[in-house]
Amino acid sequence: MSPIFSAFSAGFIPIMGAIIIIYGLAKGAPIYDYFIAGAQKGLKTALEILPFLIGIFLAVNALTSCGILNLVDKIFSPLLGLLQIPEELLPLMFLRAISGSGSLIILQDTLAAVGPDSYAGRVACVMAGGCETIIYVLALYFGVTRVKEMRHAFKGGLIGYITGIIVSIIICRFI
Amino acid sequence: MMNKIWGFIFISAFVFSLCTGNLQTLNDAMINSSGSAVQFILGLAGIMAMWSGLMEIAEKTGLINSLSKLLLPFTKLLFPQQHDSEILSSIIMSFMANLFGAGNSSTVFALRTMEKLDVQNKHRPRASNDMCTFAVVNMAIAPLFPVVIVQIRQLLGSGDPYSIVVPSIITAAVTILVSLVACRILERSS
Repeated sequence: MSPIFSAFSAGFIPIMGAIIIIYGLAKGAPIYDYFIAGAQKGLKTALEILPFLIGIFLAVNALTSCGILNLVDKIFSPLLGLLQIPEELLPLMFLRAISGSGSLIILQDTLAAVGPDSYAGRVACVMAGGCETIIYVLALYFGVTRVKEMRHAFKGGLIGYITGIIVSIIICRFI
Repeated sequence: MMNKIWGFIFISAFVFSLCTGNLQTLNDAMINSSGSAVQFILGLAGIMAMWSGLMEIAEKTGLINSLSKLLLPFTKLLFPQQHDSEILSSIIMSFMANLFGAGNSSTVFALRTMEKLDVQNKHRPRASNDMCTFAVVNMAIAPLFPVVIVQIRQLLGSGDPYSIVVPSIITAAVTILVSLVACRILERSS
């Protein structure tokens, strides 16, 4: 099953591109002109989201560099002990919500410490594979809109994230 | 909302650094992060332009519309109030790109979808229900095959690097379902 998925991931962009271009050619559309017009829009969007990205990178880097996460870990580790959750998972649990690339580094560190095939190691992988970074995604998504009030998007994202964490902890007990 | 989250993150980092005498590290982090955001967007800009170009072709030639008709029953389930076929297909494209782990490309699709939903929302400052549902569900969707994680496992000498693939998919599926239900409930009161 896994080689098929790998091939899909690797082939997604070329296959999509081929389908779009073949369809366009079959319709006799001015595909090159369309492409240029679209590319212009894309670049404009990239420029538009840049301020939001700087804002979010600033906050996330400030948070991860100052060492406050270590303090958060210390506060929560007794609670995890009670629930029989390996406390090595704590940094990942928090960081995964904040930063995508940062959490991959943490995943690597965690796996190196506990071993990739241990219970904690498997949970860490499932967590990193099944949960997404909330804050970055929200800042980016709503950055391209004129929305000032994102209503329940944050709460909904947080509920989803916490669900992902809990499910990954439970599911690895059975697999 | 973002005002509070952003302010809170920053101030807690500042206060903590001040207490631990770590202001130099915070200083470096702040300077570097602005630069790395620009670098990140430079990397993303090319892919964004490419996808936006290809999607423009797909839209103008009507490919997107035919695709969305095909997947209409599914999207109707997730977005019962959405009738714009272009938006529906844009949503589907985002989900698919995300499922196939297209990385930055899936971000591009998502941003295009949000832009379209914003137009439909008449650029109001208040997010529409579909904007929230889309953002939350798309966040919950994880790649079917987490390539990078399997790679890291292989690198660290795992006996069975693929063992986490199925649990990851199940986790994401449950998360998607819960997120969707959460949105349906939350949208009534917010």
